[in-house]
Amino acid sequence: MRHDLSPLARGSVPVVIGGRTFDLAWRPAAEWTTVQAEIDVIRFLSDDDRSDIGRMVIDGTVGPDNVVRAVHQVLEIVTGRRWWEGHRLLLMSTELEALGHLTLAGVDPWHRSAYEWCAATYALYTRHADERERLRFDFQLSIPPKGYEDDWGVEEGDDPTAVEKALASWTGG
Amino acid sequence: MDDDKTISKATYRVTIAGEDYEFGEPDPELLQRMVLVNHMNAGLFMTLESVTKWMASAAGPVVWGTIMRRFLNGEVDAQDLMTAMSELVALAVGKQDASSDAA
Repeated sequence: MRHDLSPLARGSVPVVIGGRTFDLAWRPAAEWTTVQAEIDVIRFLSDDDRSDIGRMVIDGTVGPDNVVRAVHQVLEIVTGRRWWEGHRLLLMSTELEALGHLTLAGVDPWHRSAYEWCAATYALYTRHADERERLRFDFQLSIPPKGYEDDWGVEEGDDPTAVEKALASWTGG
Repeated sequence: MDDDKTISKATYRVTIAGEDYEFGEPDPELLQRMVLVNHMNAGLFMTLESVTKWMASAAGPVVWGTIMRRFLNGEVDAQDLMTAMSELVALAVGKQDASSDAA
């Protein structure tokens, strides 16, 4: 099955685990905001798919790392950002004030994709920020969670100069 | 003989339906798998399968055989096993946390 993974797409997303591809049906942003732990993403799959994955995990065909990696890929696809950035934006979007602004702006999470919702949340947090504040926000957003430090810097845009500049800004330099 | 040796290293005492049992150090890799299967809502039977697989490895064949005989006799039910699993996880993870704090 061919997947349209473009930002405004409303198609299913592939979840590749143990050499198999499971189709995760499109879900609105409102549902993605319920993802507290990354692995919650698996709960969006059908009962049969979850059962198949559970069988692979129990039998040792795939390890928890394989599943977590697949979940991260899904988060990156649906939010259009590194998984931890997308996850953070989803969580930030439901904070009282942010949700209030998004609601007043008419951004309906039941109709928007996670990609659009994250973009709106990012825009909300940075719209009145000057360059320094924006740099600081981007920097905070980009710091990987504990255990994933090695993932930082392998993507485009994480060049040492930018990080140095961000650090200087962060420390008030 | 080797089984007895494994059981004699048991470090966790867990009560299941009124009886105490000794469990050895749970396999951390199996624990990860069990937690994942639990978390992903893979279905009751699959969850129970992952729990029993993990607990069986921690109990050793003699103790686990005793628990399973009680299960088949209806003296232990699935909820008892889930409760025992939670207790064993809490004990094992608590010990790991304490070790990390001390390090």
